Amino acid sequence: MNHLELEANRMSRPWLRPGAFCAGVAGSFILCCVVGQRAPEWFPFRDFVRFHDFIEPESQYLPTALQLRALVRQHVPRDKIAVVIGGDSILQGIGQPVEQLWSRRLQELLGSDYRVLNLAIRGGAPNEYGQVAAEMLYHEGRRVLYLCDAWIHTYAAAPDGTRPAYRYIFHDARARGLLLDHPERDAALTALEPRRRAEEAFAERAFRSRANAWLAFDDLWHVVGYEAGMTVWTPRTSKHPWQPRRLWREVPLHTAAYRAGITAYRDIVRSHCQPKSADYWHGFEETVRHATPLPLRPRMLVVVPRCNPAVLDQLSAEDPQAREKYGRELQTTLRHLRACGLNAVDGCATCSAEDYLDGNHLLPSGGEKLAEQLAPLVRSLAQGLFGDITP
Amino acid sequence: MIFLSTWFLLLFAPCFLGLYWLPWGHGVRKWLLLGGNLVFHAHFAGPAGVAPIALLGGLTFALALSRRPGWCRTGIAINVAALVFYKYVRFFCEELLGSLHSSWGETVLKTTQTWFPGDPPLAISFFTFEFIHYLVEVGRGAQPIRSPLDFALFATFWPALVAGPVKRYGQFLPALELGTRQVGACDVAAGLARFAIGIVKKAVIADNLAAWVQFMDQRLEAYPLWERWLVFLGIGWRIFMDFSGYSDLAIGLARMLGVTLPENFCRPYLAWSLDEFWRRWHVSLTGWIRDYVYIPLGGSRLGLGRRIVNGWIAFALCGLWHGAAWNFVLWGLYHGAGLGLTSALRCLLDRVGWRRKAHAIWWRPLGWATTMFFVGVGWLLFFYPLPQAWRMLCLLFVNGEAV
Repeated sequence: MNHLELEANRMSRPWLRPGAFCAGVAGSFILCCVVGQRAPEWFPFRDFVRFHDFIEPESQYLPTALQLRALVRQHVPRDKIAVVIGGDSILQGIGQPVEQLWSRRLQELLGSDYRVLNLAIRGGAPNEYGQVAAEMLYHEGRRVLYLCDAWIHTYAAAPDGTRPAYRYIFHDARARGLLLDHPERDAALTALEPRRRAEEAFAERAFRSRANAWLAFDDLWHVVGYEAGMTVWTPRTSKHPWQPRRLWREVPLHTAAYRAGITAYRDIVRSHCQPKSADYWHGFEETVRHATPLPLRPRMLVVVPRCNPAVLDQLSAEDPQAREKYGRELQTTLRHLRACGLNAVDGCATCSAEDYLDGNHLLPSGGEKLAEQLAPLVRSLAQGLFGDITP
Repeated sequence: MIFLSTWFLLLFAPCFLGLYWLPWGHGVRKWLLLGGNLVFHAHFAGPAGVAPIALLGGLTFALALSRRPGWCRTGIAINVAALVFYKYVRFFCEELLGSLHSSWGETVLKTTQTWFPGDPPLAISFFTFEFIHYLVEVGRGAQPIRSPLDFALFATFWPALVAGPVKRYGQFLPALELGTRQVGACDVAAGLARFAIGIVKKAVIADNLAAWVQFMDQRLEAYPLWERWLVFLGIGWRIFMDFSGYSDLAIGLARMLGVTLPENFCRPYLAWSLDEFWRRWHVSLTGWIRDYVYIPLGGSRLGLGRRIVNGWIAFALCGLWHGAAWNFVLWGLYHGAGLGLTSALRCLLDRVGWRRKAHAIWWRPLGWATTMFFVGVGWLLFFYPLPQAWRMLCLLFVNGEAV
């Protein structure tokens, strides 16, 4: 009897009932898919104020489109006007503790007819988490306003976001049919495809999004990671890597590191003072149009936040015209955003150097000023769009 | 991580396995398997990656059919040349020619870059090793594979394509025959269980250990001694879980097709001597190196000195097989030296008549600890450039920052 016959003989006396085992695997798989589709609604994020280290991609936690939808549904009752905040760390409120977050102040100023939800994220672009959530709400027929920030000269690198690590949320929501129809965006993405096909990670991500729409494995895994325990070690969670993410709280910011960055920020502001060509602005407008569905544009309020005046003071020492040039480029950016049908506003215009943590992030005092500047604008936008705002 | 990619897990594997398990005759199953192999290989390697392997495979098959040792040797030379060309030309140009004269390396590299791809074809090392094994065996008088279908299945069997085990056609073809005839629920269940073990080893243990080690090794001096030793152990466990996890995935998938592949890792960290470790670690590769490099060089038949040199050559090649970089070569030489030392020690013990005492059970823990430490230091060479490996090794013994 050779080793293969021995093997075959051994197989005839299995250590488990193979039929039952295979049926169990298939049944469990189907059950997981079904549970995955519903789990984000059953277990939404708790006590959500804003994204933080432990529920964002930097710690290998990638909130899914269904989790985002569950969050906005839970946060915004049907009779309220949703004010979704997107964009980067400036609107996320880096530099402000949760208790003194600017979006909380905005909520207070707007009153109970509105629900403010801060979905801005570090290094984010206007067309990532916040816009995805705003599109979902609009798609559901909710009254929604979308508030985000964009830097001078820049909006988004691609119609599906700027940072590759954040683009998944767009594709996840798109694969589930949760986004608004926007043929211009679809065409721009199709045009990008040949270039991206070479990127293995992108192809994998795109396929994964489509598969997840059917099988909901990412949704299930992230809900389990949030509620029961994670399977991924990351430096940020190194003390308790397997602990469920719901138990993690925001860590107070290491402000010294941010303050040290103010000098480096001078180079960025210097580049903001340089005028751009007509071709550049044509491309800029095209990007904005590709990234933003038509119905959302009038509901958007894009803040172009001013940098710390102290940085401009430093720059003025080397170029006395720096302040004027900066103001001119900021106004040009606003003009081009408005030309695309978006509402755009010069942000933090009343902030002083004491209101900034570093080159551009606001301290609680700056956040309060921003909220006070934006609240009347949001209210008037809502009046214009929805008329009588009381249900 | 090909076996853990979404395309593989959610599209290829369910579709292919679903089709394969239908009650076909074994002939149809073989054609199905060939189709699966081609789809799998083309998806991950692309047409540019498939073409050279197809050419090399066709050539190997044709040359072996002649059964003439001369033709087989030609085939072996072509396979070696292909492997060197695709995988090591850049290394040789940059490192060897470049170290002689900086412009030489660049010139040769620029010339070759115009007509060979930047990345070697997927799994070229596995393909060439299996082709060389086949040609050597046929050249020695074994029966060649007559059916092109069987040869194609041996060459491109997708579960073993990415990370082995390195197959032997004498074992593989009967296993394939059996699998295509009578794959059953037992195979599927056992394969699934093995696949699940592989996923846990690779995705849960190895990947997390890799992230942890990568985080810790950058600031090792900041940690106390016991944590540095933990990192040292973590490096060893990470590579074991990674390699053996991938082998488990391959063996499990093959088993789901009814095909039993040979084991590749047999509890290597329980070895109590270095040569035993190498009988347990990456068995299919070590066996290949032993049979087709070490023994043809003379093995242990030509005295202690020659035995040590042969071991060095074999292990330098083994190191180079893992990647075209100096740290892999060093790692191979280091293990070659370790095995040479073991052989010399064994000779010495024989002479003084202590061999039997050395086999006594109470010596084994010492043997095990020495072997594991030696292997662990080897992993430092495997993963890090020499100065960093040395620094890390010193930090295991010096409780300070100034190393």
